[in-house]
Amino acid sequence: MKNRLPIAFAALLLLGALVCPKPPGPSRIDPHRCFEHAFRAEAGPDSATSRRMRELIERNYTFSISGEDVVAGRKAWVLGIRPKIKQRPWRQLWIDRKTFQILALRDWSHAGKLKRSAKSPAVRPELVEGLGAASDKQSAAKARCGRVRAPGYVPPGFELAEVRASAEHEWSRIVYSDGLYAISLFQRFPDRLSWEHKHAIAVYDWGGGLLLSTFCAGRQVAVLADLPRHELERIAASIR
Amino acid sequence: MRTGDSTSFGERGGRRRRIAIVVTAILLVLTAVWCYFDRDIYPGYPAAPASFEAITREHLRTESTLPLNGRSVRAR
Repeated sequence: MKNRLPIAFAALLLLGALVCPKPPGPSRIDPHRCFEHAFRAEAGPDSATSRRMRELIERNYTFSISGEDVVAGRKAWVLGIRPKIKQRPWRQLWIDRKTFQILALRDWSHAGKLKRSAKSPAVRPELVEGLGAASDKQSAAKARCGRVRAPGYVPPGFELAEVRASAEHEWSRIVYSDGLYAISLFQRFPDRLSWEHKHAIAVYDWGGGLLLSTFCAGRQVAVLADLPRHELERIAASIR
Repeated sequence: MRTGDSTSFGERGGRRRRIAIVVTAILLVLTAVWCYFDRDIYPGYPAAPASFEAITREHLRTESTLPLNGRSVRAR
């Protein structure tokens, strides 16, 4: 009898493992597939710009499903999009399990603090035009503002997305993106309407990141991004 | 100390309890202080002056057009 007890116990364990249903774990969907569906649902029809943005995100971020949740009465996957490079902002998305629309999101700063929380009150498909054909816009904009100078250094993962000049505000602007976030570089020549701190470096908190204002290469420069201060300083210093 | 001296054990237990309560209280106060000063997302930086409002708005507008920015969701 004593010899049969361990065998019976092992048989019971085996039976339990076979009979018991698997717990509804988050591992049932591939995170990358979840991202692809969500991207398609959000970015709309396939275009050169959306493909480029998708490649940028895939190159700069890793995807993970951290669980399941219910948002606006809909079942959702919780998709984490984390940067491959340290000290970068990252995002959590609540993706509708049926339509793959984004139901909610959380943005975390480069220092790992929650900076934005948004939630859908209801599911409503809505598509807004994105950055558009960046290359076409760039060439047209460059023609308008020949005095724009690009920085020699841009943090790894970021690529040129847009160049624009604003006659109204008398500044020119270069935008870099890593697919999810942007770096804006504003340049303006000194005039009566000067920004703060003409000759010194000043760093401010604008709510969604840091803003570095300085004066270099004969122009006023403002760099906006959710990046550490030393990265902003390096970008500004590399303008020649 | 004699075996079974309950008074001695009781005194020692009371002291330990008091120490535990004091340590817990100190930890709670430290946590509250930490949370108070840790509220800032970008600590140590002043708020951007109003003269930068136009460019911060422009930057936000661009970021909102990037994919996976949740255009269909509303900020809380």
